[in-house]
Amino acid sequence: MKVETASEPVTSRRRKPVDWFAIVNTTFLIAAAVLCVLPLVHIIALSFSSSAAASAGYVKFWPVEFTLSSYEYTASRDEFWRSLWVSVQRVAIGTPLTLLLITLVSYPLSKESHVFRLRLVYAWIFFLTLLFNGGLIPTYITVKELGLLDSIWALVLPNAVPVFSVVLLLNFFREVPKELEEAAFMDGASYWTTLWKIYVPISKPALATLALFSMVEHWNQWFDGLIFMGSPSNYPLQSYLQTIVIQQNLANLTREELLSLAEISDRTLKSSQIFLGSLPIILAYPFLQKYFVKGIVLGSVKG
Amino acid sequence: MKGLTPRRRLIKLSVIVLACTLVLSACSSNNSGTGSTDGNGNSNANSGTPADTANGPMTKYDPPIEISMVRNLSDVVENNVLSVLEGETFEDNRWSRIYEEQLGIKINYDWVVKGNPDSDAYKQKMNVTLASGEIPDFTPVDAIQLKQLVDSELIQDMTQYYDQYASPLLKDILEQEGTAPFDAATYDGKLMAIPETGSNMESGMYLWVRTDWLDNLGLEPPKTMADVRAISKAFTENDPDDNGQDDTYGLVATKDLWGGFGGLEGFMAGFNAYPDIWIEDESGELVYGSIQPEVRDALLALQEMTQNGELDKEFGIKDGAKVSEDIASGKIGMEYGEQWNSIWPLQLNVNNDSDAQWQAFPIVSDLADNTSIKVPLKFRTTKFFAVRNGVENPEAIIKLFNMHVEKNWGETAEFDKYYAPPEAESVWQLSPVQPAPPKKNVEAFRAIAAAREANDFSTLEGEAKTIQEKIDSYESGSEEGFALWGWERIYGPDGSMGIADQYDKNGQYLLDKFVGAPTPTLVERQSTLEKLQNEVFVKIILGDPIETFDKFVEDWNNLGGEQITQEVNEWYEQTK
Repeated sequence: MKVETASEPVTSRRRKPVDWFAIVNTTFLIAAAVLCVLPLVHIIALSFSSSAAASAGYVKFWPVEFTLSSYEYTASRDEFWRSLWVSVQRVAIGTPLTLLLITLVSYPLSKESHVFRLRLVYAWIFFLTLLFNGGLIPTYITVKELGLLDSIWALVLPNAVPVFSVVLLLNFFREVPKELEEAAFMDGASYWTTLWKIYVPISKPALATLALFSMVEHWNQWFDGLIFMGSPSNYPLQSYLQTIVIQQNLANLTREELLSLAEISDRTLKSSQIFLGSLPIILAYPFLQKYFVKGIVLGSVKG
Repeated sequence: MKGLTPRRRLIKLSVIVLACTLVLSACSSNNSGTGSTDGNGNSNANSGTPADTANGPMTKYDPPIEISMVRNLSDVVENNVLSVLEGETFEDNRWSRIYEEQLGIKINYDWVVKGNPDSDAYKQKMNVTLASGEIPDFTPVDAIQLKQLVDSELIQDMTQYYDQYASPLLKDILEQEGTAPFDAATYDGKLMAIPETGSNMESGMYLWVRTDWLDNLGLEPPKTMADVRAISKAFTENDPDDNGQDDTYGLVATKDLWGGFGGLEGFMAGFNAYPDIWIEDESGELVYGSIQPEVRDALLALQEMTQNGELDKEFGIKDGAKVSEDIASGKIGMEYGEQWNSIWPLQLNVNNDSDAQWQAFPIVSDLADNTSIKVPLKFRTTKFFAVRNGVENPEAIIKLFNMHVEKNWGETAEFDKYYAPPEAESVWQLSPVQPAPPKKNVEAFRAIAAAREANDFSTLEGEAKTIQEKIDSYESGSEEGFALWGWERIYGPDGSMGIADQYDKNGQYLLDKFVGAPTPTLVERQSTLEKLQNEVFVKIILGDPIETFDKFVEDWNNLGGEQITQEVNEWYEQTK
């Protein structure tokens, strides 16, 4: 897109050589974008089609025999709304908590070793968690022993400090001119005050980016919901969707399970739920996108 | 100075956190340690108790006991049962109430996972639970998980409890198809879990054919393998749907190759080839069906059919759900599958095209007498209830089994309340244990067929009655009735169950001969070998030279198959 706008302002009358790079690039990017969008379009088309047409595979990218019945059915499902609520709670608790914690971690770690002598030790502790983790079963046992199973905290706490975000934020903090901090100290500010009054306000773009990361992460996680929640009524939305969307292996089903498949293998329903489930994030993206690009770049460019 | 205090605090805090972690991990290992020693002590004490108290198959516990279990919540239960029944929940419903009121057993679930027991979610959760060592009192497991539990000595011997507490009805039901389910749960002569037997004969194969296409082309139903090939060719090339386009296929296959819908077991059986099961050779030794030369012939035939365009060349990437789309849109003329296929997916075809008609036929071969063709059966018992060491009333699980079969098929049965009330036909699935007579469906057919013969349907009861009502509804020609077409195709006069009845009476069933507990190499290698096999077979059908099969047989033996064969035969020697 940028290449296109760059070549537009040239209005001179002389014949310009054809800009092959722009053409190839634009074509390629459009093709890539279309490939990303088509599956979603297909899902949307399915969700508005009649189930007979959907089960026969007649639906491509436009609804066949338009109907809203799958949305009506979804709207009447308690399970759907309940798990949507769990997901909303999860994001509402998880994202602010994550932002708070990564701010508190990043600030000391952004200091030089002579200011914060154990910096290296802590940095390594955090860094190691990027490379290794305990694995599924130890994680499960830890969560279980902490008594978090079946509570919203099991979804929020285990990944409350994403180290990748910490690295981004501490690099961002490092680029803040030291003079600002020194001036604050001169005026008698403590580290605490400096953090909240100086660093956090000027790091808004970075924090907005990390907030988006965290929201998307929380919204899309499904596996932890399945493992840590002992009752389907506590599933977040994506765990719920996962259980209805996965294809069953027909080879191993019993007769009774297969008989029921006839009644519930409704692809239009699944599609409407997938679409509704991804809608909030799709809507949130454009609003946060301007920070998104800026934030990542700012964090990575060394001054 | 200012910086120091927070740092000190931080260090202190981290020390505390570390200490806590240590204590916690120590705690958990302590717990499991004491748990198992307690368990041994208790189970010893237990062995005396049952004899002391006058405790029958269905006597009530007084005071009531509480037990813990884990289970799955299937889509069916959620959508078709719980959302229909007022005032009943997954934890508190007609089944939990009867268990509590009549047996004094209160069931608590440690966890419930949404999905079927073969879903990844359920398997993961179960594996995590087993690996953490903290299993519930009664755990439903598959054969391999059972072996793990036995090896880790977490569960107790159920032999004497089964003998003592299982009601005659329960014993009759669980042993209806032989002792195989018990063999699979027996380790060193001890019954280590109670099998919830699955019905082997339900995995019998049928040849489903679009009879309206047969009529259209003036063909007769298949009697031999040559007929199947001829029909398949005609369905592919002679435009059976009269739409002027070359868009039909004779037969289907799925990327999984085997299974209840579109599975090739039935086709292979026509060549006396029995992939995926253990069969006896002339010398009385067990051999693996998939590596026999007959499979080679069958694969060659399938390869030819694919080259003629009789099979979709893209089948290697289509799962059952995807293939069902081809069925629904009327592109398929024949498929091998189990008796329920008419309900799904064939009904989808009929919904889209009311002229479409399917019928099940017995599988065929080129043998002179078609009643001597063997119908391969898989061993279908996949659920075993294991009882944790230290559980004070291990027999409680058997009492639950007793009550379940009693209320559904016993003298005090209330079929319309506990099994399949009209408004929620899957109510029986609310019970955590679901033993059922393996032959119940064919028995229902026999009852219906007898009533049809006598032209008196008033004698029908239980499941047979419910089914006959569906057939009546279909035959009335009403709109709801049309959705029951699939049922008529199973239990009606030309129904698939009639063939099951014949298979059974002719003794055509060939059950997997290996039904023991999984052998060590089997546990280790089975999934790898299966994957290898299916990949090779798909490739051969799609056109790889048939010699690839010989290479596969060699690889199979080298990669552990030989070892498995040996272990399986050792087991076979012992059971003879």
